[in-house]
Amino acid sequence: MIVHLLTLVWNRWRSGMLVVVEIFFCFIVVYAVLAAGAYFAEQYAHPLGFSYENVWNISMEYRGEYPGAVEASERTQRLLQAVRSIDEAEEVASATVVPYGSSTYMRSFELKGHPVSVLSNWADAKFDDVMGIQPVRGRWFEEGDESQNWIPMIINEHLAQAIFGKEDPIGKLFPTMSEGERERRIIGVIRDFRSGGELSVPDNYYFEYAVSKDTNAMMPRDIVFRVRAGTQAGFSERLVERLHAEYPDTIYRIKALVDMRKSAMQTKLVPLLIAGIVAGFLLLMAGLGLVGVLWQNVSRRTREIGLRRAVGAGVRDIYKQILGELFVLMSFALLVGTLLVLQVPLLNLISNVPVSVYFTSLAGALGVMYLLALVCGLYPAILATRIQPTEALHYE
Amino acid sequence: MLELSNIKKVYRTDKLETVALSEVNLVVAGGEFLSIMGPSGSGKSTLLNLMGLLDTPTSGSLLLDGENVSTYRDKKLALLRNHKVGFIFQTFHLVNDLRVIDNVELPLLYRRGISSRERRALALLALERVGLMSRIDHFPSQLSGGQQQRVAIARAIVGRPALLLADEPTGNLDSRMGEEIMDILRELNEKDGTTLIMVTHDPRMAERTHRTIRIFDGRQVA
Repeated sequence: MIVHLLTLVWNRWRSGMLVVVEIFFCFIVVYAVLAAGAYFAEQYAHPLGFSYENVWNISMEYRGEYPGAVEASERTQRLLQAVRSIDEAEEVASATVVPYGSSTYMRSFELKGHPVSVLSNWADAKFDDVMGIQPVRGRWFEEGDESQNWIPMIINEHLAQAIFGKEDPIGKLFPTMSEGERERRIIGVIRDFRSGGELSVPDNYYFEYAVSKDTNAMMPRDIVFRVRAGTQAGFSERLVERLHAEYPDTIYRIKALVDMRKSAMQTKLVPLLIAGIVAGFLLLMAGLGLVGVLWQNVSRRTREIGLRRAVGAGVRDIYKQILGELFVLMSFALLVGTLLVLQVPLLNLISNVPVSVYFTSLAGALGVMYLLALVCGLYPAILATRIQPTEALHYE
Repeated sequence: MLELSNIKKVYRTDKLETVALSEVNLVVAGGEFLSIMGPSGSGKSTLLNLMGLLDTPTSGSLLLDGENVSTYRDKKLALLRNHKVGFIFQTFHLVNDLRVIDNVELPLLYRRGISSRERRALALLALERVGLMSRIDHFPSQLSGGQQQRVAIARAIVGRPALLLADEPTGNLDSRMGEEIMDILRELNEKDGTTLIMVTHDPRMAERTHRTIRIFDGRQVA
């Protein structure tokens, strides 16, 4: 029967080509949307490395000229103190990059002749308490670490694996990133710190101790603080007033990390949602088109179907004939589509995407398309089974 | 082979009731070559459809090889058609997108337990019987009317049915081709003992059969 179906479809390739093209493009769109969805789901499953509940962020925009390292350090301490002074704040810390924020710092170094990029951040000794970070090896920064003649560093497991493999990185020197810098020594390893949020790619990450007498000390950009569970947003105005009282030359924006997370998620998910809706409409259009083509096909082949019934085809045989031909056409289109989309992982056209994403979405897209074929082929196939041989054989 | 008793066929619509056949009683013996004649619309094709199990009678009984098939449902009728009945139509009814050999194999596709190799062998045998071995890879549109009807005969006999039904098999052919087709049908009847029932308008063709019955206004008149 399969050979018969293949023969028939092959001999009718002109009438089937339109269906093949339609299915092919539909498959590509469905695959792309599912791949994006699977990619985000894959990222979501990775550990975030911090806790955002009951954590607030104050982003600061300094409107003056850089006052120098000593002044910058002093400002940081005074602002941290101001936040600590409100009753709602339990833990307060500063960092250069906060979760769900818009900024990232990317640096690079050479490892075995290959450049390795790494996301970097500067945080103080309380940042782990505020963000709920728990080192898996070694420790977090402590007050007094600034007195070392090297820069204390905490790296994530991803980076530890990339540099040291299975070796314990604690106490080891970090590769030099630029000439003349003080050497950096690793004091702790954290599971991860995905500052871009749940949908960001797990990447190399390190923290440097922010409190230092380094001449490169930056103006504070962000303060994060943990509040007691159940604290309402009403304190923010009071806090801004308090901060203004310290340094009126700065703009302060206070946001809960929960809200920042929501915005960050929306930024990434809304385009996917739109693409999903477009793909849904496309599927609907393709489905209706398919029903139309099959319907017309059944009408055109009334006599043939009648003949098949006359020579012994039962209702189930006719059903299988109509759906079988559709599945052959569908399989041809999907085979071409599959060969095409497989080029993306084979040629490594997009980096940082796990192979499982490609294969999960491929399986999903194939499933969706075959389901579409089944749903769309059902009604025309039922119509075909209703054709009576006596009427069909006299049909003109 | 076939026994029809008090066969009646009525077509009903919402407002209309048309009696296509009434009180038809007929016995067709195995190995007989029977022709059915009558004017257009007299009920010849309806009778042929009933005898070919393509339709069921409104009342009366129809026995095929002693088995009352008038109450059988679709699945069983399809099975019987596939094993016991072969059809030849005036307009051939070949599938234009299938080669000659694939057209002939068609009834065997719906027969369980038969391999593709056996199908092919049986189809080649059938085509050899009708003298079309040289055309097996042709498509119907590449054949003459007579050749197409021979393909249709090969398709009808490929499953070796005991009963062949032909609905005006020479109606679309010129007289020479019609004679050729008639020769093949007679040979099938005489050599293989196949029971043949043929609807025809042509008295010359009817003369070449064993017996002729006439239908007029849905009734058997002779």
